[in-house]
Amino acid sequence: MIPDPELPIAPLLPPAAVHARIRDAVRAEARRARIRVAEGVLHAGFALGALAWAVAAVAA
Amino acid sequence: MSAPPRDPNVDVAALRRLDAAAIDAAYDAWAPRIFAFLRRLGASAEVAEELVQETFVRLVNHAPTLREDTRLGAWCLTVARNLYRSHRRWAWLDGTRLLELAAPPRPPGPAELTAATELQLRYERALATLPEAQREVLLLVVGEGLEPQEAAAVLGLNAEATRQRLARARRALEEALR
Repeated sequence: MIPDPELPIAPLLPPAAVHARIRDAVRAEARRARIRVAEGVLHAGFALGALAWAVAAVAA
Repeated sequence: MSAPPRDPNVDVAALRRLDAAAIDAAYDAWAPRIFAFLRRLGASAEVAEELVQETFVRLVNHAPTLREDTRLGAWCLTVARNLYRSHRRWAWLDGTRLLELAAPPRPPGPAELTAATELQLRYERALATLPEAQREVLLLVVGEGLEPQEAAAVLGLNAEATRQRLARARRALEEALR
């Protein structure tokens, strides 16, 4: 009978150097993703500012 | 080396903010398990490494839209499994890889298995003889401790089909161990 809930199989790990290399690639992707999010916020801020400026100009 | 916790606690809210520590925690908790899952499904070490990286790149890019109640392990296993299936479909179209696909999956060797006991090696060999569909349901439910409904979602099956497949897989494994 298979023991439950654990299947008696040994840990199977990628080589440490590979693990570190992939982690670096994931960190780099996370940095790019954070920059994309920040740029999105910045663009939204610019658009809002431009809209406020246009409304103020029309009202004046 | 001790086995990782079965349900590592990763802060999904922090992950949604792309918090660096949360991304590292998710990677440390799940990358080795995704790698092992893919290797035991039959992926070569090189392919498993490539697909682990792609899984976590996708996690980072989807992180801001994750639901707070996301079960991270199930999410990563679903993506990794889909990537592996997609990889295999494309490999069929690539004539240079037909031999690789035609070969039966090789169980990981003792050198790859950290601190494997004789019992663990017996199970590895028996697991490798199972059809892929049975192997993956066993790895998800019994190996990774997913709830049957989570495994059903990973496999794209309903709960009853998953239960039946799991029962068949358990019987097949017991048979293979005799």
